[in-house]
Order: sequence, then C-alpha cells, then structure tokens
Amino acid sequence: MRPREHNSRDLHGQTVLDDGLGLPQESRLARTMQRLAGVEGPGSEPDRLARMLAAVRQAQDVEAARSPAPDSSVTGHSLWLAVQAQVKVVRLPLIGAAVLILLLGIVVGPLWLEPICTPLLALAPPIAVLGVGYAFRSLDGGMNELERACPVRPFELALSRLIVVVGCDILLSLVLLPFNTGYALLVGAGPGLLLDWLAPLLLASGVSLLAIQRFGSVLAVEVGMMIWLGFIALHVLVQRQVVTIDETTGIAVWLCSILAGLACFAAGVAWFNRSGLQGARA
Amino acid sequence: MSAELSAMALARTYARGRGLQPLSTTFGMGLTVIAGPNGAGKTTLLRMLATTLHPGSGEVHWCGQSVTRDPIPYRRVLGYLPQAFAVYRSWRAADFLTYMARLKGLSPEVIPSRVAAVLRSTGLEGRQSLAIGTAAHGELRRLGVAQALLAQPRVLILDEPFAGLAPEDRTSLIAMLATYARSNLVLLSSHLLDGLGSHAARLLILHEGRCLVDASPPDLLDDLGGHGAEPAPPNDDRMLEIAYRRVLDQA
Repeated sequence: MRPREHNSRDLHGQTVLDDGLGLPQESRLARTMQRLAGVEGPGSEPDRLARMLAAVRQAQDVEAARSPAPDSSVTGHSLWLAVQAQVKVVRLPLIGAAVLILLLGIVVGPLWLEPICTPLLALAPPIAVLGVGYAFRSLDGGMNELERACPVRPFELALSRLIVVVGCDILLSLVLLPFNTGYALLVGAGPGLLLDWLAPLLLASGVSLLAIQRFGSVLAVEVGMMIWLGFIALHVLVQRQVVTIDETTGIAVWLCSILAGLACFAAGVAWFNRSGLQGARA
Repeated sequence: MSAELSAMALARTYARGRGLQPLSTTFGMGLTVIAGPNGAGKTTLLRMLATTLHPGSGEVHWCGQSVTRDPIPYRRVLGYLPQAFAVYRSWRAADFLTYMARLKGLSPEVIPSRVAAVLRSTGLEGRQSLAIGTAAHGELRRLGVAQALLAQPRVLILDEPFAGLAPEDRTSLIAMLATYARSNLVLLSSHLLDGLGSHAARLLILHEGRCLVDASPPDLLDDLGGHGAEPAPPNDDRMLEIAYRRVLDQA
C-alpha cells in the first residue's frame, strides 16, 4: 500500500510534499546534493570520500534539527488538547462552582430576581466575564512568557480558553433555558428569550477580552461588569416603563450587541495571536 | 550551513534607553555562556532568541531560516527558561509540568514519565506534589529548568538558571547542562562564571547593550596572559572570572 502523503507548509509558507515526519523530501534532497557538490576538489580518493561522508553527516544533523518534532513523543496540538490543558488553568472546582451557581439561580432565582431581571441575565454574563479574567490571568504575570515560547498557536490557546469559560457558560445557559420558570412572562417568547442574556454575555465578555490584553485582568473584569450592570439597568427601566422600547428596536439593540461582542472576540483573539507570534513589544 | 541559531543584526531599544545594540553572531552546538552585569542586554538578547520579545530590528534564524515570520516550527525544538516567571500559586509541581508538557505537544501517555524524568534531572526527584505557593526560590528555578527540558529541545535557552541555587545544586545543574550540551545547543546567561569555564565552549560578555567579547574561554585566557598576567591553564574558572572582571573594568 502506498504510504499516505500529507501536504504541509515549510518555513517560507510554500506547500510541499511531506514524508510524514515533517521533512519536505525534495528540499531535503536538494540541500544534501548541494553539500555533496561543495566537497569536490583536489586530494586523493579517500580524502574526497571522507569529505563527502562528513558533508552527509552534517546534512543529517541539520535535517534532524530542522525536524519540527525531534522528540518522537511530541505529537503536536489540536484544539481539543488545548481545551483539556485549559481546564487545568481554570480548575475543575471553579467550573463546577459556576455550574452550581447557575443551577441554583434557575431554581431559586425566579422567587427574588423576577422584579429586577431574569436569572440568566443576572448570572450568566458575570460568570463569563469572571471566567475570561481568570483564564487569561497569565497575561498579568510571568507565566505568559513561558506560554509564548511553546509551539501552540496563540489563537488556539485563546480559543481554548474561551471555549472553557464562555462556551461552557453559553451551553449550560441554553440547556437551562427551558427550566427558567417565568422567563417567558418577563421577556416574552421568540428571539427575546435568547437575546435577553446572550447579548450582554457576549458584549461584556468580549470587551473584557479586548481590555485584558491592554489593561490587565482586574480592570478588564471591572469593565465587563459595568457593561453587564448597564444591561440590567436598561432591563429594569424597560420593566418599569421608564424607558419604552418597541419590540423591533429591542431586538435590533440585542443583535447589535451580539455582533459587537463577536467582533470584540475576533479582535481579541487576533491581537492575542499576533502578539504571541511576534513576541512582546515591550 | 549547519544546525545553528543566528542573530542577524539583532537589536532592541527601550523607551528608557539601553536594550541591545545590533548584534550579529551564530550559536552552534555546545554550551554558550552569556555574561554581563545588570542591564547589559542579556535578557533582551535571550528573549529575542526565544521569540518572546519582538526585535526592534534584525532577525533570528534557525538552520538558515527566519523564525521571525512563523516561530512555531522553531518553538517545537526550543526549551526556554525566562529570567522572571510566575506559576499559578495554587498549583503543584506536577500540575505545572503537565500543563507545560501539553502546551509543548507531548503525547498524554508519555507525560507522567517525562515529568518524573525532568524532575530527577533537576534534583527534584519525587517532588511532584511540591506546592508552588510555598516553594523556595531555588526550587522554582529548578522547576523552571525542568519545564524547559520537557520536550528534549534541540535549543535550550536559560536566563539566569542558577539564580538562588545553593552551591551544590549549581554544580550539579552545570554538570547536567554540560552533558546536555554535547548534542544540543545550550545558551545560558549568568552573572558569575564560577564553575562554568571548564564546560563552556564559548563566552559572550555584554555590557550596556554591546558585545565586548565573543570568544572561547581558552582564547579569553590567552588574551589575559598576553596582558602580562600569569599564564593561565586552559578553562581555569578562577582565571576566567578574573578575565571577565578585567574586561568589564576596561569597558
């Protein structure tokens, strides 16, 4: 059976045939031939052979060093492996605590939260904001320097953290949505059921992600919390009919917030990737 | 061209001044020591070589290819210990090393044995449960060296690996690094040359961002002998320290 061939990119970004070990065959052979061509010259046949042997050995050394994974135990990265690693950073007990808080909020929240806001609006966004601050706290300290020197792509690192903290929060909230008693009474059926908590969650945590890279985790969490409180204030004003927003305008505001939040995430991940690849500017 | 790490007109300036003036040099297999006083530019140079600091100008090449555009393939063969690093205080040594092993792409099956091996080679054998929050400075430095060794890197860059180590730990770590440098490229910075002279293949002395000396220890000692001092035996640590001090005094 013919061995499977992989397409890969060399350091210059050119697509080349790969022998499965990460070494492009054609360029490797070409470099070795260049070395052998360079050892021609005067001298006896044994001398010439010795020079050729030394050139081949040197070529082997260079190609071994060029190999992306000289250690056979290095299997490379996947987003799933990165997510597994980040669970360690965020810590399982904290993830469990966040789940418990959301569950309790859904069970007992309607009793005392209904006059103000829905349980998911009260709990899901701050959990996401705190999660972003906690998962990216390495940016505040020297751990970031160690992570930068690792071969994991920085955007994979950022995405894996966001999956662990924001993704899990959204997923759990979606699962709990049908059990959110009284929810439909407050925000009505249809898109409002989803947008009520999703928009503040995405906007607050997205802005936090952007802010954390510039101002550190504490200030970023504070900014995210302010955005979340702003949404709650708006919610209360609408509930008490101090501010009147028709349904179409309301949905437009939520949708714009969601788009802005997603844009913040995209910009934050891109920034994280750029600084991770190029190295710190300061 | 061979398995070499090259700095090509590598330079960096900071808003507050200093940094590193343009430096072009090539590091080959073996142990290279970068010495110099505080603010000499050692950390700046090592951070740029480790791709964690963006060069103000110039490039870093590994095996003849630039690592500035895409450093990921180079980082697969790199082990790096920064001068200052922090680990989450709630972690234990095994948590930290396992996390770093995952970031380095080690397969999950080999991680426990590899963690045990690097702890053994850095004098922390059986200390998997060492609490980071209560670890001594010397233990943290050794843990830092251990994480750098996890993927058996071809290029090992260590910034002040001996800071805070007891003399006996320093001696054993130097011996371990000297053995590792036989088949790999090891770059380390240090204030003191004590114990390093007999192992270092090459010595760079930096001062205020400039490279004053780039020579092998025997060459530096020959130079010292040429200035009227007593003839020094090759790789004599004491004489090397004197030569180092003299170079800095003359700067």
